Amino acid sequence: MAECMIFHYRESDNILTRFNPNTKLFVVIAYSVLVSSSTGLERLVLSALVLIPVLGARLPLAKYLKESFFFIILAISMSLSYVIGGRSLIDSASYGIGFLAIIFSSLLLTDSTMPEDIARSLGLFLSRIIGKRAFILATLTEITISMIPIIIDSTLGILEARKARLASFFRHPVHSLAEFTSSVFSNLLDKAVIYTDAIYSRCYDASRCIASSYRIRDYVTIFATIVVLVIFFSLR
Amino acid sequence: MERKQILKLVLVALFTALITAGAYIKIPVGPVPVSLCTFFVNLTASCLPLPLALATVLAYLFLGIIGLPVFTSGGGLAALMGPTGGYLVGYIPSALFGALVMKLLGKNIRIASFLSAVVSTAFFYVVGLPWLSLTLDLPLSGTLGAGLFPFIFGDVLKIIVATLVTPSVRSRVTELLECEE
Repeated sequence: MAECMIFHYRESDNILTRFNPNTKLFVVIAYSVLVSSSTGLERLVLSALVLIPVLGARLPLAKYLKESFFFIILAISMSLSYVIGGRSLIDSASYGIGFLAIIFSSLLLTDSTMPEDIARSLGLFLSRIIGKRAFILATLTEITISMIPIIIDSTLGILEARKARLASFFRHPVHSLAEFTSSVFSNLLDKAVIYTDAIYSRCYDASRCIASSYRIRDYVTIFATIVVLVIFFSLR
Repeated sequence: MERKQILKLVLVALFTALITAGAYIKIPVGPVPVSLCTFFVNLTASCLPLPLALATVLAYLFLGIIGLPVFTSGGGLAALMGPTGGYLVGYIPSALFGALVMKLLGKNIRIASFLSAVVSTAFFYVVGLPWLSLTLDLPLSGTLGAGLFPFIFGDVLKIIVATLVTPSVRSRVTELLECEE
């Protein structure tokens, strides 16, 4: 299941895993803003920067490319639609590659950070603004991320069951779609109840504060990112 | 934390995850791709009570704003401010008014489901089309050509399926929430 998931953490010991999740999140957001705000050749150069942490930390680039196959197809379709729309080749390529770079940077974040960690450290940061509700929001993020494999699992299970009873989507397409969706929802709601019971039985408290620390490298990275953003936008 | 509160949290998370999954099932057609997001927003509005439906779309937008690639156009504020941003912001009134229709006409579930899906769908365009026109500087014909006409067939299909699915899902959700009363 983990192999077909885009948001999953791989346990490893490299420079990326040692940063505070908020620092990584901030850098990813800043990077996405930079890539989205640039055009043409500038965007291509910025997109290539995402390879620095991959090569620097010796991350499995081939594996990332394999898992990003769906996004590569999407990026190619995006670029093609821009070419057909009359944009220049560099401009069209930069849209697709920029999109891939943003996806890739998010992949680096999720691969090097446990979803629980990112949700909790974000909760801690936001709790200074919105109080205890921030931890509930963090828990919500955590549960949402953990729900995605459950959805895939349920959908595949229902598809297998339909295949086993030789049900065809083409005989009554709308009716079949509705029946399929109802089955998936019914299965998901059953799993939601089991999930709720599992959480409840552990006396789970969504509003509990869980601390996460910042180190000097985090402060340096955040400062450097702000400087890059200021320089980029002041030059424009 | 009470079990009912956890159940509500899990339901919101489940529907948020469904909208996220819907964003990945897309066909790129011009600046606005066809995706299943709107179908799941329709179902969120028609199957969840109003506060939970609203919480679901807000949670989805929050996940996107903090940078997770949950939107059809990726993630982050840049994606929200892009040409498809209006459709994303439109999820809020869509869920709000769709759920409101269910609350007001809930006794006749079939009609309520149909109207809720229609109202939800209409609000995507009420917010999405002017935004698309402003960001891409398109005339009215261009805006409708890029942001409405390619989606009509898909939206009609989504409305039909949502209308058929809502009664069973809503009754199950209501049953789950009432069990806790």
